[in-house]
Amino acid sequence: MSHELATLFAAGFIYLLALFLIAYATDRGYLPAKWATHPLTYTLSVGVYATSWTYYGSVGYAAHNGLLFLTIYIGATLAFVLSPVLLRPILRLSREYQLTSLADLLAFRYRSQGAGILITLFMLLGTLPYIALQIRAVTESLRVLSNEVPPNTIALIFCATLILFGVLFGTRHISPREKHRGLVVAIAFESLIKLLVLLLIGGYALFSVFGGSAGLDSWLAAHPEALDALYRPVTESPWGALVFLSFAAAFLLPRQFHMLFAENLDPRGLRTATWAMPAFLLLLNISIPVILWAGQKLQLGINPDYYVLGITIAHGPSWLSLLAFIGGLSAASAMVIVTSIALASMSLNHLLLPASYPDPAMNLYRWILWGRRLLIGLIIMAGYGFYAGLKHNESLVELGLISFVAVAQFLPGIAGLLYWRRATRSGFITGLLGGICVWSALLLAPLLYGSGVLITDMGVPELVALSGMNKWAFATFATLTVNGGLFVMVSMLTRQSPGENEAAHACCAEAAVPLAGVVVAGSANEFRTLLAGTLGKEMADREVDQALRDLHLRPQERRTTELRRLRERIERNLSGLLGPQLAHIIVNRRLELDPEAKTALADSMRYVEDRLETSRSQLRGLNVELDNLRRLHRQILQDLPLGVCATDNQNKIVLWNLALEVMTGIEARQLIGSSLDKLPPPWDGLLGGFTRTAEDHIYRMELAVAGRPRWYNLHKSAYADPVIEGADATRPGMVMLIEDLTDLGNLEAELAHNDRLASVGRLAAGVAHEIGNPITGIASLAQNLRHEDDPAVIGQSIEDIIGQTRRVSDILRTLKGFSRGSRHLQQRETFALCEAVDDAVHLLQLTHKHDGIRFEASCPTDIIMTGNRQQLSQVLVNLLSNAADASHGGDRVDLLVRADGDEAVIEVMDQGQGIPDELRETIFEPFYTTKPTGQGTGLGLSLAYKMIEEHNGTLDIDSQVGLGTRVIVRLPLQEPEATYESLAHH
Amino acid sequence: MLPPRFPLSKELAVILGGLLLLLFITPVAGWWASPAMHWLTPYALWLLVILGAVFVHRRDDSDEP
Repeated sequence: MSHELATLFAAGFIYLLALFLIAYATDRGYLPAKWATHPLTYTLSVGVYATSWTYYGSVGYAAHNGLLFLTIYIGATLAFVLSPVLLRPILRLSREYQLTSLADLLAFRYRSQGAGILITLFMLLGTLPYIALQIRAVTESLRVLSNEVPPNTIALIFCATLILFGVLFGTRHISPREKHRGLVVAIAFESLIKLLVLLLIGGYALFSVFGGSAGLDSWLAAHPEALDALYRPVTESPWGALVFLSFAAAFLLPRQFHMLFAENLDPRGLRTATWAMPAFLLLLNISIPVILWAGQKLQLGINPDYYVLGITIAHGPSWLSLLAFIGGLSAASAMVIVTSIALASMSLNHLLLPASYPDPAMNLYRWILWGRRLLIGLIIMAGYGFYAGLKHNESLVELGLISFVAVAQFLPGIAGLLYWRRATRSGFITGLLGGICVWSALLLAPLLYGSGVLITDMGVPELVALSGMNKWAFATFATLTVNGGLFVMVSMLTRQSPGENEAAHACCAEAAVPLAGVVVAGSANEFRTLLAGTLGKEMADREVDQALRDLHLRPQERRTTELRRLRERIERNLSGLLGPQLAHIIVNRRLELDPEAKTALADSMRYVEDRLETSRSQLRGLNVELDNLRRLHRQILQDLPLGVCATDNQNKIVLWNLALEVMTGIEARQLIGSSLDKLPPPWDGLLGGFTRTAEDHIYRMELAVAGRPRWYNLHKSAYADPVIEGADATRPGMVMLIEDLTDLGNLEAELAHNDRLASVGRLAAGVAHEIGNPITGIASLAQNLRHEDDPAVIGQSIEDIIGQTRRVSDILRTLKGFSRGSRHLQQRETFALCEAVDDAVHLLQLTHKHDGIRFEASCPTDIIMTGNRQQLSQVLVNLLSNAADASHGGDRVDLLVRADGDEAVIEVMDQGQGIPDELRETIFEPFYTTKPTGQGTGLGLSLAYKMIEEHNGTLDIDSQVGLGTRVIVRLPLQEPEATYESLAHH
Repeated sequence: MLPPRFPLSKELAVILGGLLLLLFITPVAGWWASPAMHWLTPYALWLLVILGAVFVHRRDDSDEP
């Protein structure tokens, strides 16, 4: 049963329209987004590998070469099984550096525009027969189904429809960061259609032609030659070459590279494709032997390439033959669409742009977009030209294998890219040229000869016959031997350029080389101005803005490290638009690097850390342990409850831990890589100043933060730069610890205040007695005044009352002054030391607890000092109180003050029992007391020690058991302010 | 959370598997490419390779490309 051409045309048109609708619905968001990103959709889209060659040609190839047809899929299976070491590194590179084609990838690795041009031209040459093959498959299927020779117009309409699809859904975005979801889903749909139709036809052949598997087995038993024809070629023919060719084609063919890497929506999809793609290929091929045998049983009398159609025409319902046609159409159209999009991108980046770079005054985005669209049209029409101009004597598989051998020529380059850093540009280009020459002679020339273009076959068939090898094995062996040999030999003999070396390291996942050099331009705005000269203002602005967004940087960014990263990001983004080599040239010319500038440790560290973070699962063995150790150390530094800031030998911040983030309110990511002097105030003064002083430790540095005083201890230490070698390594980096004392100081003040209140409590009885006596006197005087008339006596009594009142006031003033709370220990004043001494002695004398003790104080009135008077009074009260507690009734406690140079020396001596040697250290510990429970807090001496330390003084104890104790306090008279200026002279 | 540790690195397993396949594919082909075997045998072997791939990559939870 045949079909009218018009019916077939209508069916094909409806199918392609459905394809348009699917792509449109996906792009518009009418279909769920998760469909597009689903790993199985990705796998099916990669199924574009199966073209009309698979759909029609496999049966024909199986008819002539038995199970050798499977080699084309077993090779692809191997490529996917090896994806962790083969496909995943390429996916990483293509995503990271925005490389959209094989030409981009290899031009990036070998830093050669020439390589890009050569690859693109060779790809075009090798792939055009393949596109022609698809057009031929569609027209041949029309001929088989309609028994008519379809006019060339149908092939033209088919091509025009595919051009329209490619333009509408393959070039919606020009940046590779934005994927064509509609295209991915449409191509996945096409793969699903061809799989289902092929399974359906296989099932139909099995059950309808053979009557089920038992029928098939009976037929095979009756026709042992059928099975023999299937198996014999496997044992007789060298099939390794075909496996190898399909292994290469599975990821190097333009359409494969495009769907696998350029249109990859989610890297995790590749993990599923590792097994799902081979499973897809298995299902696709499981029907082929059944269809072949069904065709043989039915004695179709047509080219076995078209048994898929023949069975349905001869034995099936008309809808099945229409479906079979649609399956073939889907296989062919998917290949042509994706290949043309991939080749257009390649041709634009490596042929059109280098040859005629547009005027920067034009809108470059629009130019690229229309350039790509125009190229899609040109490539498909070139394929049509190839189809129309050549005689097609070769089978579908023959044409396909010519393309396979062509793309296999890139394998040495890929091996060098992934695993051989020593490979050079010269080696790659020489090898590729050698491979192309041999390929042209062995495969292209006979094809052109067979089509009448050449007048000689150059003796190739004789040469192949002489080798005793299969044609494809010989071509594969010869091309790759020449290619690989030249590649290795020339690479060994030539040197890499610095750019090549850098790219070679970038291609190696384990290598972690920081970005070298410093950009001459000092700001992101300068980047815009410089790039506008080549890209035009609009594109320069958009690209700089995009790169700033990618890196989460501010438009005002001026840090050299960040500007270096910005430059790198702009180059990567431009690479996706213009190709890696052109982007490299533009960025190198416009955003020059200072070759003299050294890479700072901050940059190195961050780069290495970034690489380690993103390649964590690629580490193995000891590297994992080392990385764990690195993480542990970093975490310790990050979580340290002290602020830690480290700078490199260029004074750039390398480390800024969490405590410092909290302390300063500045996030590390804003600072890492910037100079310490660029810190916002007041931290620039505090830390920048500290690095310049000779002092390694500063205690209680006062700093106004948000208008409130805070106090810090600062410590610093130099360390040698572990990365930078040579003379610069002698300029050490610096690590600083910053301890915020403000809260601790508040607590200490609180503690001291409580201690004072406790002292007041202990003094209360004596104070009450002291106040009671004058009050009693005042009361008596007042009562006497009631009966007194003599003015002189009254006057005297009033004077006495005033005197007693003054006495009470003095007591209260002293007590109040002592107990007054001070929030900050650091409040300082200038005062006569004897005032503090008098206050202390007076307070002690108020209490009757020490009635039997005589306090003798000697203090010159001209000793003036700066400090906290209240603290010093408390120190003296504590010392005197301790001395009195240790003394016996009738003993004397002396307090002697003298000046000794620029110090005041205060000695408190008692005649008590003394302090045993073993208690000398412990008596300064808080809450340690030798007094009975309830009579001492154990805080007096420890607080006194702390307060003296805060005044930069010392407190020593000289004691002999049984003779007494002498506490010696030395205090600087003019306590220096904790400023860097004073420290410089300290 | 650190990634699970492979007793045998994934890359090594894949490369070893590939080498074994290359070494033994010819004798294995000699075995199954016989009219005495069912015509589905090569597909069954193919399926075994796919299942092997699933097994090797089953714990590959890396989200990096």
